[in-house]
Amino acid sequence: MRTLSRLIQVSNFNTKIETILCLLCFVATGFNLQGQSVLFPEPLSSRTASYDIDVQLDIKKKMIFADEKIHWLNSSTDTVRELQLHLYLNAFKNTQSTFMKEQGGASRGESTNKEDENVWGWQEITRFQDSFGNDLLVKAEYIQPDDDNEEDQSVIRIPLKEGVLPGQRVTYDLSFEAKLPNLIARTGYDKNYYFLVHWFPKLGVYEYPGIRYAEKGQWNCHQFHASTEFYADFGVYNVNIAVPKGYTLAASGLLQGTEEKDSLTIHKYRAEDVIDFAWTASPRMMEFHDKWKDVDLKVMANEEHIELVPRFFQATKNCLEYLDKHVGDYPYSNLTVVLPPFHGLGSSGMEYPTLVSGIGFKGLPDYIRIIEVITTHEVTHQYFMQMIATNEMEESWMDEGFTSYWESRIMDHYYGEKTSNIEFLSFGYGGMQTHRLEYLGLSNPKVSENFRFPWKFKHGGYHPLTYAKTCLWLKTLEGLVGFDHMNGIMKKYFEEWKFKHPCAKDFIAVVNNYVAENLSEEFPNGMDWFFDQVLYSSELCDYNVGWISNNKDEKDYGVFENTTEWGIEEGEGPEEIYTSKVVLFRKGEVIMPQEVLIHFDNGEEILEKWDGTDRSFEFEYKGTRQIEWAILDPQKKIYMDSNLNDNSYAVEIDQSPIWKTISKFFFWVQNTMQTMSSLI
Amino acid sequence: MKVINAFAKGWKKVIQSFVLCGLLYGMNFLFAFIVALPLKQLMDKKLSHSMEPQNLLAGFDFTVVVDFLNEYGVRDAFPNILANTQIIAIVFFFFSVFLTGGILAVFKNREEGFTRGIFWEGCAQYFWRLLRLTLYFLIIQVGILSIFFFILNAMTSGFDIEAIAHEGVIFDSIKILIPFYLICSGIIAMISDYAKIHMVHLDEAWLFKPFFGSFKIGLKKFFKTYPLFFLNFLIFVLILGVYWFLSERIITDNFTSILLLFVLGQVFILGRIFVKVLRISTATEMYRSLVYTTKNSEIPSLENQQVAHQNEE
Ligand SMILES: [Zn+2]
Repeated sequence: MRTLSRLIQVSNFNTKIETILCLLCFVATGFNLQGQSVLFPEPLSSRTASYDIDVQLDIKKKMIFADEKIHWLNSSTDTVRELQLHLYLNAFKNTQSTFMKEQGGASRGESTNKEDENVWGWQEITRFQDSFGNDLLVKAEYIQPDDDNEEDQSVIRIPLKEGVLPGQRVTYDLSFEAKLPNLIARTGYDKNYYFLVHWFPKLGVYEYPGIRYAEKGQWNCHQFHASTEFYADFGVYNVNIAVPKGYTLAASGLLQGTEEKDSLTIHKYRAEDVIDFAWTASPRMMEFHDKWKDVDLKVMANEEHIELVPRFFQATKNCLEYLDKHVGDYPYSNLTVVLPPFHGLGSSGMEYPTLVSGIGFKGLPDYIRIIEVITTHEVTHQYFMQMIATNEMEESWMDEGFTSYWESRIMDHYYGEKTSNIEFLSFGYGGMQTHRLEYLGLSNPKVSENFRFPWKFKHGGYHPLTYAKTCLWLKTLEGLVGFDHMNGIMKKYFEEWKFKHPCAKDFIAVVNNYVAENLSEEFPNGMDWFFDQVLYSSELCDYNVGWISNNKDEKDYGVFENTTEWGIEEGEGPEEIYTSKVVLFRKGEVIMPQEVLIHFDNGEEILEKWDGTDRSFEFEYKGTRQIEWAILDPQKKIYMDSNLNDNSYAVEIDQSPIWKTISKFFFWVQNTMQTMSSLI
Repeated sequence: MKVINAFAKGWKKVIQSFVLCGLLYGMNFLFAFIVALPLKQLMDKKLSHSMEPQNLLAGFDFTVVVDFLNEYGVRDAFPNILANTQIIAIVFFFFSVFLTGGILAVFKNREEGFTRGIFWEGCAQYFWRLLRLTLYFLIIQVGILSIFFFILNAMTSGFDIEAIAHEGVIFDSIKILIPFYLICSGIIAMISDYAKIHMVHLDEAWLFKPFFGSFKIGLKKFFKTYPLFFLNFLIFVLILGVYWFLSERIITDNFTSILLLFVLGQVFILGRIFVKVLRISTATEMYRSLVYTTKNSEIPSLENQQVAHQNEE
C-alpha cells in the first residue's frame, strides 16, 4: 500500500505526465487491491470505495477514536475536485439537526433526559490528508444539499488540492473521534451494549452518466434524514476494532484474528464487496453457531434470550433457502443475527452487510412470529440494498418494498398465508395480509405516489407506501405475469444488477425486457403502463361486480308492422329463454386487465377477459341457463384491489358466514356485559 | 360443614328461583341484541351477495374482515357499533345494579322464593344504596390495583429498562404478583357480597353498618366465607373449561354447527349468570348461618335480632 501511495505521489508532481502515470497507478493499485482479495477469489464488485479503519472503543467516555484510510476509485470520466462524506453521527448532535427537526420534538423519546449530554452523539474529523500529506481540513465545510439548515453537520465537503483523475485510485488518510449517542436510529450505546452502525466518515456515491439518473458527474450525498437510510459504493473493509477484554464482538465480514494489547483485545475484521460495515460489542452477549449450506450462521444473544436462538436460526435458514432458490446465490460465507437486549431495543430490526439485528423478548410465544418476520425481513435486505445496492435515500421503496414483498412471500410459504405472522387459536394473519392492511388501512392511501424521496413525505404515508404498497403492487405484478415469470424477472434483475446501483428505470427495463422475451403475447406493449399507475401515481385500484341479472325473455307486445297480433302468451315454446348479465364496475382510477369467472345454473363456467378500461362493463348471455355467480379476478391476481369482498357476486348464497360472525360478535358483547355486571 | 351447607342450600335456592336466572339472561340477550343488530344489518347490506365471506367458514380470514372494515367501517360504521357497545355496556352496568337489588331481595325473602313482586320491588328499593355500595367497593378495588401496580413499579424500578437486568424481570414480577392480586381482589369482591346482603337485611338508609359489618363478617369468619367464595369461583372455572373444551371441538363450517356453537355460547352465558346468582345465594345462606350462631359482638345486636327473627322458621 505504501509503495503505491508513493507512485500516486510522483504521478501528481507533473500534470503533463499525470494521465499516463495515473493510468499506471490505476493498473498497479487495482491489481494490488484485487490481489488483496482474500475472501473471494475474484472481486464481486467494482470495489470503488474501500476503507481501512483502526478504531478503539472508550467505554468510559462512550467515544470512539479512529484512524481511517479511504481508498477511492474515480470510475467516472470527470476529474473530481472535491469529496463529500457522510458524518451520520452528527445527526444526533443537537435538536437543530435536520434529522432531529424532522423527527419532531419527541425525537429523543419522552423518557430521555435531553439535558444529559451523554444522550447526544457527534463526530469530528480531526485530520484529513491526501497522499501528499496536504491538510485538506482547512477548506472543509459542512454542507446541506437537501435543505438550508445550516445547523446540520451530517455532510462534509472536502475540496481537494489535487483533483482525482478519471480512473485514478486515491487514498486519503484521516483521524476522527466520535461521541456515541444513547441508542438512536439504531446506533449508539445503552449501558454496556454497543451497536456501531453508520459510525465512520463515509464517502457519498459519485454518480456520473450511466449510473441511475445522473446527467453529469456529481456526488450523491444526502444529509441524514429521519426517514432515510443509506447509499454507498461497494468496497473492501479492513477494520481493526479495539475493545476492552471480555467484550464479545460481532461485525460485518469475517474475523481474521485477534490480538491482545494491554487491557484491550483487537478484533481484526475484513469484509469484501460490501457497502457498509457495522459492529456490535457487549460483555454480556453470547455467540451461537449453526450452518446453512456452507454459510456460517451466528446469533448473538444475551442469556435471557437463549431459548429464542433456534427460532432465529430457523428463520435465517428459511430465508436464505428461499432467496437462493428464487432470486440468486448468497455469496458471502457468513451471516450474523444480533438479538439486542431489551434495553437496547432501539437497535433492533436493521440490516447491514452480513450482519443484521433482530428482535425478540423473553417468553415470546411461538404463535407470535415477530422474531421470524423481522429476521426474514432483515436477512432479505442482504439482497435488496446490500447486493442490489439501490439508493435508499432516494428510492427507499426499492429496498424496503422489495424486501417486504419477499419477507411476506417467505413467511407465507413457510408458515401459511393466513397464519404466518400470528397464529393464535382460530385467529391469525399472514404477511401479505398484514401489508395489505397497512396500505389500505391508511386514512388516505392516496397521500402520495411511491416514487418520492423519503423525507418528502411531508404529510405521512412514508412507511405504508414504501413498504406495504410496493409489496402489494409487486404481488400484483406476480399475479399478472405469473409466479414463475415473477421469479424469472427477479432472477434477471439480481443477475444484472447485483453489486451495482440500479434505479426504478433499471428495474422497469428488466421487467420490460423479460416480458418482451417471454410474455410478448400477453403484454405486447411492455409493462410501462403498470409502473405508471402503481409507482408514479397515487391512485387506487378498485373493481367490483355490480350485479347479476337473469331476465326471462318475453314476447314483444305492442303495435308492430305487418301484424295485427297484440301479444303472445308467455311460456310458449319448448323452453324459457333468459337474458343473463354480469355488470362490472371500475371504481378506482387504476386500470388493470381482469378475468371474470361466470358460473351458470347448469354447472357451466366461463372465464371471460376484460381489459378493465371502461368504467362499467357487462357480459351478456342468452339461453336457457341462468347465471348463479360471478367472480372478478378469481385467482386474486390483482391483489392491490382495495376491496376484494365486492369482487364476487352470487345471486343466492349461504348466509352462514354472516351468521357465524354475528353470533361471535353477539357472544362477545354478552360476555363484555356480563363482566361489567360481575363488578357489582 | 357450614360451607357445604351454605353451598348446598344456595344451590337449592337458585334452582328454585331459576326464573330469576332466565330473567337476567333475557336482559343480557336483549342488550346484546340492540348492539349486534346494526352490525348484522351492515353485513347484510354489504356482504350478503359476496362470496368472499365463505372463507370465514373454513376459519378466520383476515382479508375479508380487513376489507370489510376498510371499505365500510374503519372510519364510519364500525366505530359507531363499537361506541354503541361501550354505551350499552355502561347502561347494562347500571341496570345490573338495579337487578342485583332484586336478586338480593329474592334471597332475603327465602321462604317465598322468586316472585316478580319481590324482585322488582327489591330492584327499586335498593338501587341507590347498592349503587353507592358498589362505588365504594370499586374504589377499594382500584386502590388494591394501585397498590399492586405500585409494588410492580418498585420491583421493576419504575419499568425502567435501563435499571432492570432484562425484560424477563417485568414478566416475572407480573407472574409473581398476579396470584396475590387475584386473592386480594377476590377477598374484597367476597366482602362486597356480604355488604350487599347485610345491607338488604338491615334495610337502613345509612351504609355505615353494612359496609364495615361486612368486613367483620367476611374476615372474622374468613375460613368459612372464603372457601365458599372460592368454591363458587371454581364452578365458574369449571363452566369456562367445559365451554372452552366443547367450543374448540365444534368446527363452524355450516349453519347447523354455527347454531350449535351459538347455543353452547348461550348456555355458557346462562352459566355465568347462574354463578353470579349462586354467589349471592350461597353467601346469603352463609350470612344467615353466621348471624344466627353469632352471639357476640361482630354483628350489631339490632341486626342480630332482626336476622335471628327472620331465621325462626
Ligand atoms: Zn427494511
